[in-house]
Amino acid sequence: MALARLLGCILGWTCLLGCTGEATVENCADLTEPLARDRCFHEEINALPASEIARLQTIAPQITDAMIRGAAVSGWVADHIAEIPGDQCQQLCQLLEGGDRGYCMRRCSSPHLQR
Amino acid sequence: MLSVGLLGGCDQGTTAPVTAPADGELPPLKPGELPPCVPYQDMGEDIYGYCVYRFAVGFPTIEEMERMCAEAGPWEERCRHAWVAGDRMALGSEFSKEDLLGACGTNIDCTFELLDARPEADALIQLELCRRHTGQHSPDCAGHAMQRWFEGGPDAAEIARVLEAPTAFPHKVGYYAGAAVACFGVGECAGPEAVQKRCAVGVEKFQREPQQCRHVGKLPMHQSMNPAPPRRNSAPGGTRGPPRPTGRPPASGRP
Repeated sequence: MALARLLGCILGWTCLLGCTGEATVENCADLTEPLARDRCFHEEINALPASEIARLQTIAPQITDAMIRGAAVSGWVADHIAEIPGDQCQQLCQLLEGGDRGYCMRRCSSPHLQR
Repeated sequence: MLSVGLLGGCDQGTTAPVTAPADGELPPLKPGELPPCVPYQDMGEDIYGYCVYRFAVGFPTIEEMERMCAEAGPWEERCRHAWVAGDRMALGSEFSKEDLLGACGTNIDCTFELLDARPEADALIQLELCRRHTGQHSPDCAGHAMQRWFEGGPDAAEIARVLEAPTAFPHKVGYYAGAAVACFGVGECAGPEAVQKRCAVGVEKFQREPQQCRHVGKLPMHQSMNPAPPRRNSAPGGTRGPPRPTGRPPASGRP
């Protein structure tokens, strides 16, 4: 999954340069269009290393669209599950909804899923 | 510095709002079409795939699940797991274990959970299923199988039968058989050398600490992915409405 996500980021970057010529923004929060802001935060989360849990917890609640937030948080947890302390892992799950929150909690509490 | 992603396409047009289907019901699915996820189709396979996964529980048939989960990209395995989990996985569902093992595909978390939810009465068959279908989780799967076997209170003949059988899990088989020998006071260690040695270790442990016998069958097994019953054409976890890209998430509810 990590590879696929990385490839997605690379493709997205390439496409962006090719389509708009406006390659980057300094701060996602400065974007006024909600979906563009959410997608910007999604990419920022994708790029966070495991040590940046606190940053994730700050960014994720700012994503207003539940699907985009879920893809970002759930994907990040899956990519870094072996490095996330159990209690913090469960806190991250609270950013998710319904069945995906349950799946996340299960991953965080099942030793065989953290190896 | 962050890229404002255009994953999967160069169309930067605005996304149309999602129209909420009544009572969480989705129209019949057409190939490549999952209405609540259409607004996410131009956002790249990560976001779109996540949306497809979130609705996996509602896919009515294995064929529908196969087609739709194939669109979930990096979320395909979890999509499959979400579809299998819950009522479909439970004993008594209309789906056979063989069908669901196929539906799990290469998701060994899914197959592990399935085999745990529908264990074979014969521990040796269960151990073989663990070996064939649960990959790196197979030692844990075998541990659960033998834990269940212990809970059933095997007699001397059953202990001998299990100990004598060739096994891919000599440590698990030996350990629980040793526990049974010591805790129930029946049978004796036998079988292949690795099994027999581990059995002897188990016997010694539980004879030394008989108070541990009552804990052997009470070790926690992992939780189900999706304990909520699935509903046809509904979002996972009982979600009634569709995702709303402008901010309000579904009321509730990724393998």
